[in-house]
Amino acid sequence: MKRTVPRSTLKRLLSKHKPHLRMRANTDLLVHLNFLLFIHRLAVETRTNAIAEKSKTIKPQHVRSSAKIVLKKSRG
Amino acid sequence: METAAEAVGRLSDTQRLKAACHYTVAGLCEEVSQDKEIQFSKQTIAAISEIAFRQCEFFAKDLEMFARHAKRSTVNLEDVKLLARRSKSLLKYITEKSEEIALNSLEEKEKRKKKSGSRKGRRASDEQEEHVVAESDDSNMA
Repeated sequence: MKRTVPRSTLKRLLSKHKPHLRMRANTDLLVHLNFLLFIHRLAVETRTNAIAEKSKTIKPQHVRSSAKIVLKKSRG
Repeated sequence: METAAEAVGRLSDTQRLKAACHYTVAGLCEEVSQDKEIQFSKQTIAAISEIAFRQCEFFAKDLEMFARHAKRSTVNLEDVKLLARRSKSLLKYITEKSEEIALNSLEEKEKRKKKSGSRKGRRASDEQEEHVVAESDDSNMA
């Protein structure tokens, strides 16, 4: 697994959504941690979905259906 | 045999709260059942009241945290709006209600200040302030 945090990318994405938002130093690292945890939740949910449908591979429809649930759960 | 009053006296505070919650939920369910012509079983009402009771715990904790985040020890309407931010429709409803409450409280204050003769002047200034607030809100939303 890649061990570096794409900090400039993160900042650019955040500034794209909220241009006037200013962030303290190292806040983006916490944002990245949140993102990683979100991806983990999504992966677990998707795997559960795939197993429930008795398919050995994760298909796009599994990701889509689980993304709906996980996005709703991860609202602030 | 003991009377009902004695039985109530021996209940703990939590149980009393739960009973009050259950009573209110039963009343609300009654309204819904008359409106939609659907029957609620007793177990359903009990389950709903239990859910409401547990949900209140989360609400209380969240509100406390929001108030403390703003370095306050008093929970106010803004915190309640934050609590409802997750669903758009609920946020809209809560915002409307909070505006109503704010207007009502303003009117109450106006009524209490009967002795002040400069009511019209204050009213105008209040309305101006409200316009300013609304405009700033719009700019924030955009």
